[in-house]
Amino acid sequence: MNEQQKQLRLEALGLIRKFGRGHSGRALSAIDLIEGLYFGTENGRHIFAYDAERPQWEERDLFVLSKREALPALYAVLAKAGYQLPERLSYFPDRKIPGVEVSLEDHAYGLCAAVGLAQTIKMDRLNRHVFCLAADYEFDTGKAWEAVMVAAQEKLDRLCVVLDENRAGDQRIQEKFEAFGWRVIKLRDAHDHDEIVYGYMRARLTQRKPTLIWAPTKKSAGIPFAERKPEYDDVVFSDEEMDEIKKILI
Amino acid sequence: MTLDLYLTKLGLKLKHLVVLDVNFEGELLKDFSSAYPHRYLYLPSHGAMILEMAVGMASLGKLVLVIGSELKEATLPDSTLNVKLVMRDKKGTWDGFEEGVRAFGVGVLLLPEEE
Repeated sequence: MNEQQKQLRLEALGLIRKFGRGHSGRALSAIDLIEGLYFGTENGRHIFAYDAERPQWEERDLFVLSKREALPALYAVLAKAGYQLPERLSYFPDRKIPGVEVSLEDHAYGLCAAVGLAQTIKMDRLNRHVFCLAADYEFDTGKAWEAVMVAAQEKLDRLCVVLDENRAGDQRIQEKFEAFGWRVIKLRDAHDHDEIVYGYMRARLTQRKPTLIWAPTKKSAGIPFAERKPEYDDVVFSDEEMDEIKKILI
Repeated sequence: MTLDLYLTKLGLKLKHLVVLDVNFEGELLKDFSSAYPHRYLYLPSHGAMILEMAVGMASLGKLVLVIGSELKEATLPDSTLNVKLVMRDKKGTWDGFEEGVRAFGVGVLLLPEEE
């Protein structure tokens, strides 16, 4: 884990404490995937095109957070990337906040919206990419699979879905997506910055089919006493626990 | 006037008009789809995700009409997006249909049951 990943963990957990509620374990399983996207570079250039000073820049790539529980992690990354976030942040993804592309309400909502964004990019022949972070449980819904089918049928090669799989593994994920016509890139270590960035680089090169980055993550990753322990999934850490976490991370 | 012909004409004026058709009985807008093949998507059996997909398209400036859906109302977390459900109804009328399509935000447009 690099210094930035550690710092972002503290920021995200701080936000969850500020909200007074949240999903610490689930936010920390996703944070490195978001960090890799916003800070990953290839030959000195960001692999994800954005301009924090112009959040509505017309040539930017788009990131859709379908996994709502990871919102504090996204806020932490956006702030680090230079976005001017308002003092009062929404508990749910809201398009009014700079850097948040889609307002969400339901499971798999962001995933379906990401397919719509990628379809528009294809229609208008834009040189932009859509990245969408989805949770494993979102694929328990029918609409998620409808979205998967449409993306493959329309050959949405500008779409990359990152599957944050932090529960007991479904070993048939690759088989299922490939059967629908997707390209699947499996990360060996879904918390390693370089591995994640390399995954995104490969995804950007995919042609004529959408890409799934299969990221087997750990809940509460980076906090040894809470890692993979379900009782820490949805907690707000206490002062004592935060002191211990700071000792671990700093 | 059929919906197909009407939207084909309207499509000339509204370059961002996109139609998502989810009905089961085959493509409803044959003229529109042949005039603007990239602006018409026929997605039968995709009714569960169609509004969300429309949200994504409207986020990038499209004016999206959803037809053939079994949904009775369009409720979205962001009411500023130009997404319209087009439905057949006894109370439906062609009067003001174009204004309804052009209107800002999310809405439902009712057309007469008979063409």
